Amino acid sequence: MPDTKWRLVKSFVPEAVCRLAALLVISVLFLILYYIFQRGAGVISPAFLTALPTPVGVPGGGIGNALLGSLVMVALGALLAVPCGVAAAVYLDQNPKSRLAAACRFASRVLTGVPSLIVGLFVFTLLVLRTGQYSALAGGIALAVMMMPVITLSAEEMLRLVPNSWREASLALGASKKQTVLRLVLPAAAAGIAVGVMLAVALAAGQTAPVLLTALTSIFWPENLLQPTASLPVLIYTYAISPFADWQQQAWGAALVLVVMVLMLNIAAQLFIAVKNRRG
Amino acid sequence: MRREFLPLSKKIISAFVCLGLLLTLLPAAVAQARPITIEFDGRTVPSEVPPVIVGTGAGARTMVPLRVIFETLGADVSWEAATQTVTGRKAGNVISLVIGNRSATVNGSPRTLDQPAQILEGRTLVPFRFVGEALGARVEWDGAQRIVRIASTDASRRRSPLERELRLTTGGATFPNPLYQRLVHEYARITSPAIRIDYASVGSGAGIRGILGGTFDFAGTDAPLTAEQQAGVRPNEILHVPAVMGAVAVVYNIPGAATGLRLSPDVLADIFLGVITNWNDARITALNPGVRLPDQRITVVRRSDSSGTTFIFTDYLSKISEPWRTRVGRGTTVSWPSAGNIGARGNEGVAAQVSHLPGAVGYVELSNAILNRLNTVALRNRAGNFVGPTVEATTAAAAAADVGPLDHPTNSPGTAAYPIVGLTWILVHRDQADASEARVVVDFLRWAIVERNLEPFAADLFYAPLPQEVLNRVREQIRTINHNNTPVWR
Repeated sequence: MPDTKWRLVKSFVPEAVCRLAALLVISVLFLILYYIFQRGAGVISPAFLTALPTPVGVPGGGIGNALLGSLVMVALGALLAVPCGVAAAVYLDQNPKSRLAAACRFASRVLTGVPSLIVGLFVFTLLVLRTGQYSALAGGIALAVMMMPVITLSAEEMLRLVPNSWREASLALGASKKQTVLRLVLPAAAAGIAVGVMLAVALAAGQTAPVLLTALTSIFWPENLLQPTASLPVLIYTYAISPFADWQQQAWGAALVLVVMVLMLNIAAQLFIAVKNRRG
Repeated sequence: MRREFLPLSKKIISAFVCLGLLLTLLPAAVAQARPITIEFDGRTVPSEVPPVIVGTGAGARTMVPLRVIFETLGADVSWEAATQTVTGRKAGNVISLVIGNRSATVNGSPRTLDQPAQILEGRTLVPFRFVGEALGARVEWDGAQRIVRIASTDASRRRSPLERELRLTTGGATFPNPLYQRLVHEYARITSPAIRIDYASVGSGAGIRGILGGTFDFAGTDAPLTAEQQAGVRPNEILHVPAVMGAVAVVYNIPGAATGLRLSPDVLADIFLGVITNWNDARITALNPGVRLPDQRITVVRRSDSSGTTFIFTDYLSKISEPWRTRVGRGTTVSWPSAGNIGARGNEGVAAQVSHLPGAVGYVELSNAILNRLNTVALRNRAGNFVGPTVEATTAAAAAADVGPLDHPTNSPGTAAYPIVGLTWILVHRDQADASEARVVVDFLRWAIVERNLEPFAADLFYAPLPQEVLNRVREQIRTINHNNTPVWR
């Protein structure tokens, strides 16, 4: 029966193509990981992770201050962006058709498309030029500007997935609007919101331009939030474009640390969600 | 319905976790017998070969690599091969040691050593305690932890312009960045730990904006301020202090690997103008008798981004070629006339293009040419000699240069001069607003440039130190830096 055969082929080919595409996506991640690992693993050591950077020709340089600086600035960015973004998403979810909501949604979409360099310039002009001081605080604010629209949009999507029947049931049982949002809608969407936050954190951790323009860089340990502060992407950028082999080596090592950090964050988020789902 | 939030199976998750764990465990490279480490003021000093203990019983002495101890203490060291003598100088103390000889001198008076300076596995080792104490440091041996400790006495910190805490934020040109990083690193070691200078490699343009906008305390630049930029500040208020020089190498990729290519200025200009389009052009072969040049199209690779290297290169071409001066001119970006030229970002981009593209010719800053193992062109200079890009030929160019203080010493008349060399400047406010900042800025510039402390590091990083004539000018420039009309350097 040639007809059946033809049908089988028609079903098999597109499936195979899609499967291949899926494999391709995974293999790209693994290739990048493999390549960075191969080039960068050799320099990783406890000393590399904790020492201050050294100039070309002085052995023993590390990325300690850049690692700490990146962590501090990303954490600061998240601290500013998460409450703000989630609160905005709650507003969008509660008043989906208001004019303010439409404007906010539009602004967020535009903001996600704005090149990170522009965000950096904006914070540079607003804060650095006014105060004459590069700082981790300015870096954190620039990263918060990058993260906020991503969090707002993804959190709104997640809140919208909470079925209306649940909300109606809650209100019908006599719960107030506040109780419905805080005790029902937000917990139900928490896992999805966390994914959006992780995405935003990963995005922020890899930014070079906004951080270079606002926090600059430093060869010293960060002592407070009002000083120029080193970060991993800026260190990788400076080292990678130099012609010196020992800096290039360290750039690979720092890249590996950055990628593993982002990967760990994602894995942590997945685990968190898995655990939460099993309980709930 | 919540299943959708579990896109990764547990297996993959655990595989990632294992990967992460593996990565953190990776460095557990175990040392069997612990080597001796050196600590200076509580910080571990890196040493390529660990110190060793020579001799037994009461005569046993810890020997450290010569370079490590002298550099750690910030002493100047010189070596006389004929007499096998090592001499170290620091803050008025002079010591000299002879390899294999137990007698040494400290400030002219003879001393006897338990163990002489010696050469082990190609390294010169010197007795640690003797050298340390003779140069005014306190030394200690921690046998349990196998640590050699050196503590700087007051004399070994050479200078501290200021007692309180101060941070300088500076930045700019990318070209001198490796050297400036070394300088701020070394300066941090010899000055008070409360004084910190950061230099950010953000490019000359950003450096100029930084000092004009008040975000940088001083700035590095490969191009002097333009008339437009000068217009916003009082005349001579921003000083251009020459810091160091570098060469721009013309690099090429000719299949069949013809090395040692020689070019004259007019031929170089015509290649970049697109007049000469093939490597076997008669004008190129005439300059290179004995070199086999293939029938290969020339592709010009140039910078696509705004660049000080482009400025120096086009400055040279404008000086030696009338058609270039009138048709193209000089600048940090120019419109390139040759057909089919390729733009690349950064020195690293041009170097990569040239090394991969047969027939390519481009220009990169010297360190990029050497470290990427690119072939460089020997150019005919004004004196008529073919000279390749080297650190010495760069200094020779500046020594003989007949240009103004704000010009690059390109096309120098010196006989040994390489013709495409550039200065890099430090921009600094002449009238300083803050007295403490002024003291640190002046002290740093004086230490690095005038007292020639950058010189031990310059050549390794492919920079050429300034000739004495220029240094004399720099000294006068730095003397004009003032706070409330009082000179800072007294």
